[in-house]
Amino acid sequence: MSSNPTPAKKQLLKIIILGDSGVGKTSLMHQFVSKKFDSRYKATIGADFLTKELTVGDQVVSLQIWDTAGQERFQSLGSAFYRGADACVLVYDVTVQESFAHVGSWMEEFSIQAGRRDSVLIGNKTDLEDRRQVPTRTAQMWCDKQNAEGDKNDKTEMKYFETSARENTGVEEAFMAVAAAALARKASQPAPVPPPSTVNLNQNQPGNAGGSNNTNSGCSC
Amino acid sequence: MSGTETTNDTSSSAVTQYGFYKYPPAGVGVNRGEALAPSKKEFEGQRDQQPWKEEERWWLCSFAVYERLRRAGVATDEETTYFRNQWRHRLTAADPGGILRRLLWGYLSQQSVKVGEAAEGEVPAAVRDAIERDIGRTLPSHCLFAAADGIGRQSLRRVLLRLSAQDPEVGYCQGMAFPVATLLLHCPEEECYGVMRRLWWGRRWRLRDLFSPHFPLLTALLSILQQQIAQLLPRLHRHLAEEEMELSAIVAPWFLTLFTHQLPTALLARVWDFFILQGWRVLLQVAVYLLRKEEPVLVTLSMEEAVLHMRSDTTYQRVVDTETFIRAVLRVPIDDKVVEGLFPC
Repeated sequence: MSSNPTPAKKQLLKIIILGDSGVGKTSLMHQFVSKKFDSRYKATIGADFLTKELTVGDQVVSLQIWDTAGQERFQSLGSAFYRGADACVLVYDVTVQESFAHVGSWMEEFSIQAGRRDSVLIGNKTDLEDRRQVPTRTAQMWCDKQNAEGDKNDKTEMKYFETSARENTGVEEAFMAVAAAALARKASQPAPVPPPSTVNLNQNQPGNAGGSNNTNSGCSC
Repeated sequence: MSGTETTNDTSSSAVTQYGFYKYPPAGVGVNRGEALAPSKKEFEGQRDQQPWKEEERWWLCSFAVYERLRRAGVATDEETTYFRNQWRHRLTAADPGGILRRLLWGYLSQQSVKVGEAAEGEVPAAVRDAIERDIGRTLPSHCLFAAADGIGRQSLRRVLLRLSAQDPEVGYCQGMAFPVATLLLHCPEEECYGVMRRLWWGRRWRLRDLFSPHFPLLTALLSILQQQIAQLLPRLHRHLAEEEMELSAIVAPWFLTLFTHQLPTALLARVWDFFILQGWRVLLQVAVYLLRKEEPVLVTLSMEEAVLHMRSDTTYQRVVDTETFIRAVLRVPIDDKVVEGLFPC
């Protein structure tokens, strides 16, 4: 499947996973990308990332998922990674009230560094239902509040998901939602330097989902 | 004496020579490990494989002579330098090996370090929780730390709690657990704590400045590395500038874990021999060496690709052979003065 000699131009999307230490950011990323769960991940120091190719609608995208260290003092090292992010994933642990309380500050930090972006909020570890501290309704309401409060001119959306990285429930849905949000943002933005277009007549061009402003003036400075 | 290779007859065992579980190929198995606990025999079989008696005698004599001079108060700076040079030459010449290494690290870390009594108070609950979360995420594939409440994890927890108690200002920082766990592979808990405290406060290492909020030492190390790259690796330097690449994305984890997260165990032990003897210089040398080795690839990559490239284990495992590696590292020209600039006063 990868031996195609002239692959269609892929859209590269960058997303960042944020949240307190130990909420399962690395596990979520690995579950989504490589469909496996291991209870023995090493703590993430600095940042790490994986990429996964997927199809959103009819567009092939390469999703670059950045996983960050969760301890607060690492925020000062994070800015380099936030740059150029298209969307963000905020994660908390449904069994740790505190990790939910911190979601707001993670989002704020991200907005300062990367600008406002669409995001998904993930309540992870639903397999530990008996230890749950944060009710679904509370998190959903918080999300709704964020969506209602947003700037009129710069509307961003936050969707809520609950997952279990251990049991692989809800992970795919959450990441597909954030990929779609990131792609929508990319498509609505004029590309800074349009790539020299080589129209391959034998293939359906997947690019430019918007379609209307597909002028391609050929300015390849 | 004869310098022959020790035979690593551990191929049939569940763990490597260094106690790491041999994992099935990536993607297979979930709760591996528990069923693979190594037998006592497997460990004993690995002991005493090297004829290191003469090596041991040399070190013990050298330490004894130096210690006598020091205690008599006649060890001048010149003399100290002489001894330290001797020790460095000896370490460069040969791998001291496991059991002797424990002795060397213990003694060498004491040199010119005075650490006062530890004020050990209560550890705040938040710090306790932060430590607890990382206990199971530190060298989880090593047999010492694999079991949920095995002795390795218990020691790791106690040492980390004591370390954060003796310096509440720094508390606990992610990254700290890795050097502690690495030391625990080489020495028992009490010694590990002692060595960590000396590395913490001793002016050669100042680990407390590495881990304290805003990472002052890390910032200083990064700027030294930037200068060194500008001088020694101009192509890479240009590429970093053109791509607006943040060097810290690649190298911050190296320094924050003292390379314990990246280097294979045997190599790491050799690098630490020099880290304990001399301080940060050797870690800067390793950083420059790795960047130089990968320079031809790195200059073709974006920042994201570069991080990925330098993160992959193969980049470190591909290293030829431990002794060739360490010699090449020690030849990287980094001026001692540059490193001394890290700690004014």
